[in-house]
Amino acid sequence: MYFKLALRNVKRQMENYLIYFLTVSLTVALLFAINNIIYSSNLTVFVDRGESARTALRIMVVMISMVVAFVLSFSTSFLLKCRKREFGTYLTLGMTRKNLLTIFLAETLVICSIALGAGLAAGIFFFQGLMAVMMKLLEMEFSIASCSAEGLFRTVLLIVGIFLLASTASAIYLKRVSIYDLIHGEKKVEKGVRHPVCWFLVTAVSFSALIACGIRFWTGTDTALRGGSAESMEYLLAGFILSVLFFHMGIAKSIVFLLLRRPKLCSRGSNTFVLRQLSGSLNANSVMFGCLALLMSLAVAGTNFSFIQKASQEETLIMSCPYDIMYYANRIYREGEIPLEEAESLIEEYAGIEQKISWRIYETGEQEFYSRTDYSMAPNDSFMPLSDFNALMEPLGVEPAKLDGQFMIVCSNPKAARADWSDMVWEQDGKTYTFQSSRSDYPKITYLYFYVVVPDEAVANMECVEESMAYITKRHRFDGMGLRQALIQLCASDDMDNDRIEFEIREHVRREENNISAIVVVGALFASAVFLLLAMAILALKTLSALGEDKRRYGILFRLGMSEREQARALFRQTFSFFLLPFALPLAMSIPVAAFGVHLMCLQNMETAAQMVPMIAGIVAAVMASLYLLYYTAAYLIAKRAVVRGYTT
Amino acid sequence: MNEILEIRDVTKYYGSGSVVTKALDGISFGIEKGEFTAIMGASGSGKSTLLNVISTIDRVSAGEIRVDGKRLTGMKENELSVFRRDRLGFIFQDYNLLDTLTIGENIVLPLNLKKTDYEESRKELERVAKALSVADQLDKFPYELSGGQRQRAACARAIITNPALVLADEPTGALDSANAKNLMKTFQMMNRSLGSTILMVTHDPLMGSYADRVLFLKDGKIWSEVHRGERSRQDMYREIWSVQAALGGEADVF
Repeated sequence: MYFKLALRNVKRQMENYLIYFLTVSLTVALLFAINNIIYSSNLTVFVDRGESARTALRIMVVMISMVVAFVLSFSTSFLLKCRKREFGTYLTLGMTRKNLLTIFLAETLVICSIALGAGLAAGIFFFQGLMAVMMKLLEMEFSIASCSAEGLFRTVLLIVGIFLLASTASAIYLKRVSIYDLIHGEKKVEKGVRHPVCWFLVTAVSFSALIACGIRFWTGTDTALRGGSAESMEYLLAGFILSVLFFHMGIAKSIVFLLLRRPKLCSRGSNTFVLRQLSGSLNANSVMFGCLALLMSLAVAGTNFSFIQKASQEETLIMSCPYDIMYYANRIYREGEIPLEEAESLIEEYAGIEQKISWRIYETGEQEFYSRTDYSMAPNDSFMPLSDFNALMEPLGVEPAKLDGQFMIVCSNPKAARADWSDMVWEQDGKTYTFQSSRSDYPKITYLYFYVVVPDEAVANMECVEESMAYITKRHRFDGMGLRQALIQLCASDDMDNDRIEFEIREHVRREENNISAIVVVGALFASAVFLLLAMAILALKTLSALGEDKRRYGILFRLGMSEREQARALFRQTFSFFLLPFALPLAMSIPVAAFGVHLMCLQNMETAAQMVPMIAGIVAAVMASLYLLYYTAAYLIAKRAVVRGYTT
Repeated sequence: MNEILEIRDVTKYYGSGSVVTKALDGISFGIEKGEFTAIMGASGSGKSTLLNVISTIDRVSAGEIRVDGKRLTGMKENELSVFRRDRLGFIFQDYNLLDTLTIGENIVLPLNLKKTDYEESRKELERVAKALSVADQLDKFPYELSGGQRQRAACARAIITNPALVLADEPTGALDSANAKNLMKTFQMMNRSLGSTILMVTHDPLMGSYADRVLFLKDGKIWSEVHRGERSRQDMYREIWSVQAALGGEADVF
């Protein structure tokens, strides 16, 4: 009997359950998709470090599941509170609380079961979509991936767990609530906010703090990238979180109340009504707005940075690995040195050798140049003859350097770049060399913090410590992983770390970075989608749960002569403001995030990536705003249908 | 005399096909300016339907309604909204005050919806609040007031636009007897001092006795009519009782 009643209730309450159903379905779909990626047998094949990627994604799923569990428990309790009066009536008619809980749980079970089915079906498409993104990022050809049984099992387990958690919260509520509260629960008492001016000050202060955090983060990162000491970001993160929370709490508790103090504004049309409608809901949900805004800010920033990182990857790679293959004859590992001829035959086999450029590093055994830097454990000064340097730079399209009897410092590390050698006079073999310049913009060709480029004659009596080789290959896209593996096998010895070789293969580095990018981008996209979905679901459910009261109030307005269109407009202003409040700041954050991204790229001389950043930020903001608008429209149309009153015919 | 409300052969059907209920059956009557009229009748007699069609929140199936000379039956929805906002005032059994608005905001709301100038709205608010003795309560919320005070606030809201006709649907239904009597005195004051034309639906003969005229409805038709004339309220009350007894005591009732 109770199950029948539950089924009938679900049919009758379909409109109320629609948003809940959508939320559960989409959550199931997203969880199913990510679980399938985690437990996909292909993950190890796709991603070199399959296990660490899997662990990272698992941690993310656990964290997101906690957020999902909270939101779904919240949604379930909202559904319960929406129908307080109905449940109160059941209790007065003689139903026990156990019966009531059975009915409610049966209803949510029906919805959750249907949503689970629909979510799993949608999840298959989401999974293929995420896989397509991942394959694209990994530069692999997309093929339909098969779902894993473990992924399915884990998703169902998670949803059952979340359902049980939500049920427990509902059971506790139903056990404790009095019949009087259930029946009279809808009668709300309007309470004004105390000291709205103080809350406005909180808003202003937290907004200033937010800007200060942003500026501090900007300058801190700037300094760190220029070689300065990186300051602790934990304080900035804490400051950012608190600022976002208090900004939204303050604005929710002040703005409407301050507007209500402007009688001329209030006297126009339905302004007073809309502001009063908002005042109660904003005041009661101020903390929630802060939390939602925080989640969405993280979603906006996370998605932007993941894409920016991906966009800058190619340029970073060209700067850090200018040659297809680089051989560093590192003196530390000389014992396990690779037989170069055999290695070159392997390179020829995998990529073909078009050009070889050899270059040398010399040392005097002194630390004259290092003494002008901040390095405490400084190695010996390193020197490169001008002819080797120009030979290396020429194929890269860099203008040949001219020294005219001077020396030039080439820095690979920002800390080194801060040192001042301008007044240094260096003597070698009886000759004196003066400072010409210190450069940081040359492609990175060594792992040294810096090296000194000197005229060829200056190294005549120095010890050659490195004879390295740069290779330009015939094919720029080749199996870098395979070549690296072959080179590792070639020089395998017991006393060496198997993963270390003296060859830096750009294709291998690129593939490794692709793997990391794939995890970062897919993870960020997934987390953003979940955060956005949950935020929208909470706002929609909050709006819908107040429909009973709103219907009565709009009914009064109708009787007082407010036309259907005016009611719809008032409802739009009311619901849109409610939806907009926690989304406005995260959306606006796209602008500073984009500006910061551009600055970051420019700082690293990545002009192509810098040009792409605003476009990325624009697309991310547009997609998020569209999704948000879609959810809002659904909630608004449901609310309008239920609340706005027209004429009976 | 100047007729504010004219009702001619108004019929209202509910339902469709074989299940049709005739709520109003060719009713005709008129209300003159400054008149205080009550409509009485048993449950299902058509009182609320009549009030709904006059208040333009429901449409008639046949017949014609004119308020202040304007024919309501041909008006479009938006015109009806404007007409209701500008020319009608409402008082309901459960006050229908917006719980989120202060009393002052509730009273002035019809003027705000009409986009009346702020200064003028303030003046009107002061005028009606003083007349209905709610001037001290303007900054309070409805839950902070007693039932009688709330209903007085509702009365103030109903008359702030100087409507042609004030419609009251069981206004004393949620009040105790003392507050109900006070409200009726307020109605009389609104009628006599402020010149409001009032049409009130009630089932209580005592409340009906405050009106100048009482129409009795039965099965969607006007069954009888009582005029006060020069009689006292007690006499009026006795006559209402006798008509009501006759109304409920027809021989073929079983």
